[in-house]
Amino acid sequence: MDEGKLSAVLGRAGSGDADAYAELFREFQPRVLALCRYLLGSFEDAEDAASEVFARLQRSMKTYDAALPFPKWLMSVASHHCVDQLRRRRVQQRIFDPPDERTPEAVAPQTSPLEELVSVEEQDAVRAAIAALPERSRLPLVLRYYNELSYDEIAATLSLSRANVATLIFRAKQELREALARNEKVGKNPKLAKAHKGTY
Amino acid sequence: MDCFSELKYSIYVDGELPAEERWQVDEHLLECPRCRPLVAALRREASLLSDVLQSTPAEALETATGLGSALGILGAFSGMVAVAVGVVMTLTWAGREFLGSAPLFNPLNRAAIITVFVDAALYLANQGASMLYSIVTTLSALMLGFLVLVAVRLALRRNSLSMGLLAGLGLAFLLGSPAPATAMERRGGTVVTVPASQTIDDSLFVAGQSVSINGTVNGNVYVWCQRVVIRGDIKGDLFTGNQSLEINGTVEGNVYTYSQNVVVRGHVTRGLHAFSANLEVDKDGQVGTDTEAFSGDARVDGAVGRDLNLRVGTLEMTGHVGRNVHVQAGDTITVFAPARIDGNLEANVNSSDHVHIEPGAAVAGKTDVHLTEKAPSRYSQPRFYVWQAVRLGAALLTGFILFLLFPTLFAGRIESALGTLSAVGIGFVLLIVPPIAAVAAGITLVGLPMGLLGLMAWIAGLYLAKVFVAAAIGRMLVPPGADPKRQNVAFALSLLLGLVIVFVAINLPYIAWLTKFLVLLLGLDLLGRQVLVTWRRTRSRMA
Repeated sequence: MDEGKLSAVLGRAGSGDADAYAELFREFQPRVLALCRYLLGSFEDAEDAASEVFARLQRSMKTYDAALPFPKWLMSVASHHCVDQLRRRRVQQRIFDPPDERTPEAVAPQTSPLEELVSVEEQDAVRAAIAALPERSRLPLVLRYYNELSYDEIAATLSLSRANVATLIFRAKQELREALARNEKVGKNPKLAKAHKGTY
Repeated sequence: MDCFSELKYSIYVDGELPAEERWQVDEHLLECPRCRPLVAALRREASLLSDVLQSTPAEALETATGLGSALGILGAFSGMVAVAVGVVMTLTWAGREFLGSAPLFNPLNRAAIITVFVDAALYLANQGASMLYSIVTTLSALMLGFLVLVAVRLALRRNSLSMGLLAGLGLAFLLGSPAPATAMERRGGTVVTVPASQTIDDSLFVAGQSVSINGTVNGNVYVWCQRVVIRGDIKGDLFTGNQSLEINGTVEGNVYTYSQNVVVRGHVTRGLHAFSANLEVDKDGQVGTDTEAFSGDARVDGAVGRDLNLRVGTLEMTGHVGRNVHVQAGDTITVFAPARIDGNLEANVNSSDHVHIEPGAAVAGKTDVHLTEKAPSRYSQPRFYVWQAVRLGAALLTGFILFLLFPTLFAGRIESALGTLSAVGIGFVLLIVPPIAAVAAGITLVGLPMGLLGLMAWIAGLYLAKVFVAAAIGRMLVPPGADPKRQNVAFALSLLLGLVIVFVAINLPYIAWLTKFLVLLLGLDLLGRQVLVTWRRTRSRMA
């Protein structure tokens, strides 16, 4: 859907046209579902959450500021919904404790950044590894690189400090490199995690 | 100046450093050849993560936890089979209840099964035992090779325990398998003769080219060969598949035969059940009780103790039948003198002048001649459409229940199946391999139930293939509906549309066999692909 068409559809949606919502659903449901899946960690929960987001869309559209790109806004609505769901699961309101910032690089100083993935299988492996990360690493990582939220926005969403967010994202990347390197050792994805040599 | 931490570079790359710190990093990078590559690598990593996540295909995640584990897949398939069987049986019952004497409703075309069976039997009859033998040896060799491969692989991983276990298993398998029937005597060879002087107390199993039984067998006789001649005495039943069967001696039990030519000159004390091209009961031949046969041509000059039930091309008789004669003949029925029928003669023929009864021939009871109406084209019968509608309903219900239970299995797209079908041929493999594997498993006694179960699952898969293709076609034509609350209704409608298309396609005149085959391949491919994807995801999640 190009921008012109999208804004037309949004205009119709604003005036309560049910068909417009149907079009928005078709266009964005897969992305929303994938986001919910990453954030919630289970497909069943993700389906419920995505359905809920679209069911409430008509109401939440009132808060939509046309200055923002719609996809970005919709994804942030969805991520807020998911984070609320996760909060509800916890007794305390905080999703998880902020990281210990004294030793930010303690995880694995040896791993080097991931680069170039050639095949679809390799991309699949990265997605699977992300999905398998613990919640506290997965959420900030997904909000940052899938939703493209700023550190401040992530901090607000997860009720953490900006510094916490930076640390968590950094650790998440290191955990991801480690997980993929383990796969490589097992011989599953030999091309993965190409080491960047001589950087230290 | 000291280098910054990787954490700081990570924040820098994400564009989240405050302006002042960013300048510091900028400056440092200008003069530090060690940090520049690190930052470049971090930048590529960030864009990679972004790319990979942004391009997440919806179905990739859909299947990630859709079914959980391998056990889940097995459970799901059993569930599908159960659903299909349940729905089909219920509708069969309902159909028979409400539609009266309509033909038995069956998901698998019975006529097709019979054809396959008959063709296979004919082929086996021609090729005889040598083919069975070569199949068994080939499969054994394949299995042995597979075991060796697995053992080598395990050995390479230095998994000595598993290797020992496996080697033991293999040995046990090799030692244990070649004894399918210890309770009977087995003979083989090109020419097998049981001499007149010999008595065999057991049942006898013979495979050969030419078999003569001149002596006495106290048990049953199972013969698989080209030519069988019985001159001796068989106290039990005779089961045989052959090109030509001659009974000159005595069979005290029943005779079950699948032959090209059957000639009875001696005695069959009980019944004769034949499926043959030519059947002859010679003037000296006697069948103690009933004679039932599907045969191209039949000639009865001898005696049949009770009923004679035939479905033949032509029948000629001069002999004696103790009770009723019931014949359905494609061509003519001729009863010559001095034939004698002690009961009724009921003949089904195409034209009344196809029945000739010579004046000297005697029919004690009534003579009924029914004219078989030429079967009109099935397409002109309303019943055909009613039954197709019932079948369509069954498939729709099956597909819908499966969709409610296992939505992820319907994620396959027909385009992807068509695109890769020629390259991978999953459907073809699934069509061919399971029955072979099932037969292979059935060779050992332990594997027999597994083989049978596998075969049943495979047959169920053949039925489900149609449903999967219909679902994929329906989805291609009518993309999933907008309202998440109405997904089920939308699916049911698109499935209905797909099923109508598939049912029309597999009932087209002249090319139905081709469309059926294609639907089978496509459906198995779609199903197999989804199961494979699920399996792979499950494994990568467990890793």
